[in-house]
Amino acid sequence: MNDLVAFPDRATGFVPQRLTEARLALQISRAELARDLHLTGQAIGYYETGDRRPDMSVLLRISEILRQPVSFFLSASPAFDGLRGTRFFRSIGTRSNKVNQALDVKTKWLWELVGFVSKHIKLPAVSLPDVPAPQSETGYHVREIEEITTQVRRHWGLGDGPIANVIALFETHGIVVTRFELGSDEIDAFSCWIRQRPYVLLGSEKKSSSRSRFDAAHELGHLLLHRHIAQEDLEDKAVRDHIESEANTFAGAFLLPRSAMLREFYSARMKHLEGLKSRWRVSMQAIAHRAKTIGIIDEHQYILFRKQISHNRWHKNEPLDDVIPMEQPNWLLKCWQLLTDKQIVREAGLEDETGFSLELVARLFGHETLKTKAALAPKMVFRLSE
Amino acid sequence: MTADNPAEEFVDTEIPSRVRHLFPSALRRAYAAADQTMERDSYLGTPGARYQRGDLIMLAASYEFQELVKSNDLPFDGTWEFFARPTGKHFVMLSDRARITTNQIADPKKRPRRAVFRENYAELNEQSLFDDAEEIARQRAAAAHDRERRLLHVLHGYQDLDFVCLAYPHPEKNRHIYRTQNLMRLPHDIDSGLPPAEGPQESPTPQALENLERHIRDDE
Repeated sequence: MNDLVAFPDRATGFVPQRLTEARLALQISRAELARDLHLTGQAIGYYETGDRRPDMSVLLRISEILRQPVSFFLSASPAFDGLRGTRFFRSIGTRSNKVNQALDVKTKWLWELVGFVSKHIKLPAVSLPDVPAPQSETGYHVREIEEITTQVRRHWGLGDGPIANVIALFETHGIVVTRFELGSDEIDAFSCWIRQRPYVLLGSEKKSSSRSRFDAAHELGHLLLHRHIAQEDLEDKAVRDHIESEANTFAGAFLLPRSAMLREFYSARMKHLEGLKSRWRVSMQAIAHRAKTIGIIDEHQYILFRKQISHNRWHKNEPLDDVIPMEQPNWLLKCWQLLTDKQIVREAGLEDETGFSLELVARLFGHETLKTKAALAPKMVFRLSE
Repeated sequence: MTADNPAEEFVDTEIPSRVRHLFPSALRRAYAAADQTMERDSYLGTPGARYQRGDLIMLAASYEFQELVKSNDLPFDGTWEFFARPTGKHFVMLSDRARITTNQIADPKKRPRRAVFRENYAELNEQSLFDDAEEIARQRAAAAHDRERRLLHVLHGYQDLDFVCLAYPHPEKNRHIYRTQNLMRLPHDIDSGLPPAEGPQESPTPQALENLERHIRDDE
């Protein structure tokens, strides 16, 4: 965060919702924040409802604790509407409320930042095909999902070969992709539609590129197949399990087209699977599962394969995981560089322009830091006496 | 383009080149499945069982081709037929004008030992099953059409999967009128001909709105 403090514009005033957002994003309770501020939890409650305003010294400490510039707490919080479908948190069953709320806030902030970027930069047009509803009330049949994945590939001008870079492909077709720490081992990725634009948020905790590509394809499955499922539907575990299964089938079929598998897959032996993994950048476990789905190997062969995975302790880390490079979302970062390089936004006032700390912007854009001239400049710190 | 050899033309028509890559991969899977089964089950580790490894491969190959036909990846019909001596059944693929059998042999240049297929199988018991004259006529026409199908071989073998060829056997001599190149050699071609990685390698380059606006002004 930039330590240069701008005095608040009192005309704009303190925005209570921003305090709530910043607190939830860091998974800090009112009581915890109150303790750090030497205040009561009730006082924080008043600030968040707008019944009282923090004075400047408190606001400065809030800014420090919640790692946002003062200007953040003074900027209006736009209504987060236009959210369609639902946020498909993977491993939804075990997420805690705190993590869930933090991810909700960060999704909103990402949307705000994309809105800021869109004032200066042309966003890639969203180009996803309309997919048919399932023929059965019980959901999509594997065959239907196969057809949809082929439809998507053709829509994007792809044949049936390996996908060079899943994230770049998504970004090219208008999907906003980012990767940051999601704060839970149980959540690999999630996705949502906001005002007709799809977002995919990937966790940075996962270190395997092939698994992360699968996560991204899984989310694409949710975006296309489950756009109209309401959040409350996900309270039912059977529904959750079903859509997860469909999204997994989608990911397998999208990354490993049936025709290619029939041509290239001929054995569940580890050496052969390793070769396929190297070419397709999909985990050996996902390849074997796909082979079972297609019927190239039977249940028994698949069980044997699973036993070998267990024997080698390759559940989480397979061969080549340390070799295949991780794909990174770069479009937002490129936008940022364009904005600063062309001086479309003033570097000196970047935090004020966006309303967010640069540290947060960097993280939401999928990077540890943002290299700006301002960030490299000597910092001037004004502190008010308490 | 028309082949010089009518038998070649026949094979090309009945088994189009677009599906030929499926034959080596299906047979690779069959050999691998047979070997995995033999490794897994100790009773298949005996000398007697090892001697009959070819039978397991034949069963696995039949299964692979059956699945490819079922899924329409191979544009054929399929049927399980008795061997000449009804000691077992094997899977036969039926194209419009050919009956395609799978044969394990030691030498791809030689025709498999003469296999005699049951004739008139489609007419068996038809009289007792159908009273409808039209249906009987249809059955007879279908059977006649079936008898007119030429025999084509998918040759592969033997202990190792060294070759896979499609062949049009000579009706009398111990050779083929036409045989394709070894499809197993296609891996070199296939490796180089496999679809390359597709799609963008990098994130798109953003374009500032003011530039767009300038372009529009320039165009005007």
